[in-house]
Amino acid sequence: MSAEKYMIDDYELVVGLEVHVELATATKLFSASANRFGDEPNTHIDPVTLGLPGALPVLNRQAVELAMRIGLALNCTVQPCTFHRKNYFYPDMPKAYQISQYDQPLNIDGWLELPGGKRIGVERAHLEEDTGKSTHIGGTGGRIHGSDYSLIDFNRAGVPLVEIVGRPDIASPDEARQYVTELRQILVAVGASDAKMEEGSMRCDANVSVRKAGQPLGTRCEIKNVNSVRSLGRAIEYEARRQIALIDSGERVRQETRHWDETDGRTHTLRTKEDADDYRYFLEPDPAGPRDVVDRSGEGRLADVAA
Amino acid sequence: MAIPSTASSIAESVRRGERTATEILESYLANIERREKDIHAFNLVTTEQARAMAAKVDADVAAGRDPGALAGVPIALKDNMCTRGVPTTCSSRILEGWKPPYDATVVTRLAAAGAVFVGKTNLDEFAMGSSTENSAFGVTHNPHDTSRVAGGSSGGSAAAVAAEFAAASLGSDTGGSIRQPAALCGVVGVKPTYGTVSRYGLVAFASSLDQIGPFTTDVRDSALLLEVMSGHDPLDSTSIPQPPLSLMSSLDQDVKGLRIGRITDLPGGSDPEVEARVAEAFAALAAAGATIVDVELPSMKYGLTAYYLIAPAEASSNLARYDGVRYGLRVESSDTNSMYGATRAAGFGDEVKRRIMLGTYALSAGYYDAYYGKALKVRRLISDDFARAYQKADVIITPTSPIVAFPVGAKVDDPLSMYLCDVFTIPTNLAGHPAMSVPFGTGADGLPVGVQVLAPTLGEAAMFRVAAQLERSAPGGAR
Repeated sequence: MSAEKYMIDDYELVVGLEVHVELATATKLFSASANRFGDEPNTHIDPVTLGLPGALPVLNRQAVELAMRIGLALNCTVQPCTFHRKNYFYPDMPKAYQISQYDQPLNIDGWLELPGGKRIGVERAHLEEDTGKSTHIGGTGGRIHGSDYSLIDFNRAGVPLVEIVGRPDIASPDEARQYVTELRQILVAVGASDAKMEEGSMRCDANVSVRKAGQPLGTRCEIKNVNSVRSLGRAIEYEARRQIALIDSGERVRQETRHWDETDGRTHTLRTKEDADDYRYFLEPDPAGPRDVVDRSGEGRLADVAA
Repeated sequence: MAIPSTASSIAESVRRGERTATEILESYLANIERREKDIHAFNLVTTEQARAMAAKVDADVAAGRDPGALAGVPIALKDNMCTRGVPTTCSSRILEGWKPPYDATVVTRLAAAGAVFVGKTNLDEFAMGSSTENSAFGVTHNPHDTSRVAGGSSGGSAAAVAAEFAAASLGSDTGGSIRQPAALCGVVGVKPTYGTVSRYGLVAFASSLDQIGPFTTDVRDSALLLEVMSGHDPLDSTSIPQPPLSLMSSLDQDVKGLRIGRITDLPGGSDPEVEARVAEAFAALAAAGATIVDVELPSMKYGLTAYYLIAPAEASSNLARYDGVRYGLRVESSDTNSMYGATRAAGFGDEVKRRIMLGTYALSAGYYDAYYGKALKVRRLISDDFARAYQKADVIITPTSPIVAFPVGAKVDDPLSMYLCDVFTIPTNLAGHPAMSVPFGTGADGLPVGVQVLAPTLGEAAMFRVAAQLERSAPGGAR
């Protein structure tokens, strides 16, 4: 590969990737229902998965172990951690909050090495639960807005996820593709996930901004709905060119979340920063002693969790 | 021969074959038939299910099988505990008609011990209140004076025991919701150490504070129920990994040598007659050989404020799931967001809405540190205060409620005065400690007064020793 810096016109790219991977556990993150893709809808459900009144989460030890493997494989510090609630309403999220990690994630400060030797920083890799899956019937584009009705499959709800937040060290579409390809191989090699982007067991969001050399960081946009390594490269390049065109024509890049459309090869506004949610994070009072899940030696061993 | 009136004597007579579970049940059902219309303790009386459960106990006895430690004991369940196939409403329109597909762990354990469930009792909606007036299905009245409230939020469960609609009942206690109605209805009510009784299947109000406990007519019955209900539950990660409590042997021990704490800086404002009964309780314990020691709890006065940030914050999250998508009430609307709004506006009562708004605000970006974060610090200070106090004392005695049962409607328009009902009970929940209310004579208008016994984490044995002594020393003598 070329050592020459990737540039579009005289702009350089600053890209950080957020990758969600579904863990290859036998059961869900907080309940005994099977973690299986592709079965009849709503066959792997239980009171916890459905968020029924009175149901309580019980942490899946195997999920913690697999998440720790990811942390160690990505050269992270594996540390005592806590769970928080991320509160927001969405029809396929049964409790109206997601149990996730906030200020004390399991894995922090790692890196992944690209084939050419460049290290891409990993800020954190934390555990959280997946949502259900909505299918919107009627209307256009499979979106909830304008649809006639929606069907929800809760088989995916509560499936353990690790969100791997990369630092904005990626400088080209090609590096982004390499990062994801390399990450995928690591995840499969350590047995943490089958990491299939097509089936959604690995999902990638890209934060993209551009700047002229030596200038401060530009305003970034987050690109969602990227479903293959190839689309990832295309989406980043399209988005970079879009931002450059805006800046060159004297306009401003607005901070927003954008949706990659595979068919027209463009990104489209999904929501702007102005309607950003306040998730009202607070320490999850239900899974007991999440601090005690990992021992305090920092060596990444599981502490003896009382049976 | 009269029908026995305590859970332990009922179980004993059924186990020995002296009485059938069915005849005992019918006598309690007759009480319900006679007085329930004036009391409204129940959201639902499960007559047929109760008869089937009693018949099974009788069949076990006839066949020589062990019918369990609570054989034939009629028990009422607060209507925020999940019962498979039986409506569980939390006294809220938003859950009206919902039938859980599963049983709460306590329900499973009591049933396995031979208990007979007579019904689901009324409560303040989602357990938010101190009078059982915040129910979507009507007010519960105090059996001692039906113009008065039964207390809350477990008012239905307290009234059910006081009116002899059940020999025992279960409540949940987040800030006093077992102890305060127990005091107002003249029965025993226990909030055990947080994590002693499984919360699996208890509809959450404030997860870090909620705890299930019994209402009974005497101290021994509460010990019996706790022995059956407590012990580790793998379905509740906050359940303490330990065997069930063993309390029966504490009941017959005297209090010689125990150090009883008196809080010198206890918030004032209690009824003079309530204060007089508590003074008599201290005197009775001293006369029985205990030592009275002074303790200070300087942070206690902030407990109420901290509680009304922490509990609503957790509630705002716990109650977010009632969105009309999967179960319970749905008010149709043009899109999802307006459906959520319309459903929640129609489904929740005023007090629940008030607390959801308080809690949402307290957790919001920019306000978290000033409200929720600060309340958590107060919670820590209160725990530290208790830790210091329990170096000097084995248990602490206070009034359970500053006042006796008040007239229905007296406080409904004044939430702050209602919240003050729980000033003595709330610190216990913030610390996760056990506490119980024991009837101790009467106050204004001849209404019951409860004395509260507080103990440190897992200090139930000493707590029950003292409670049993108070029961023996109570004005009017032991039952």
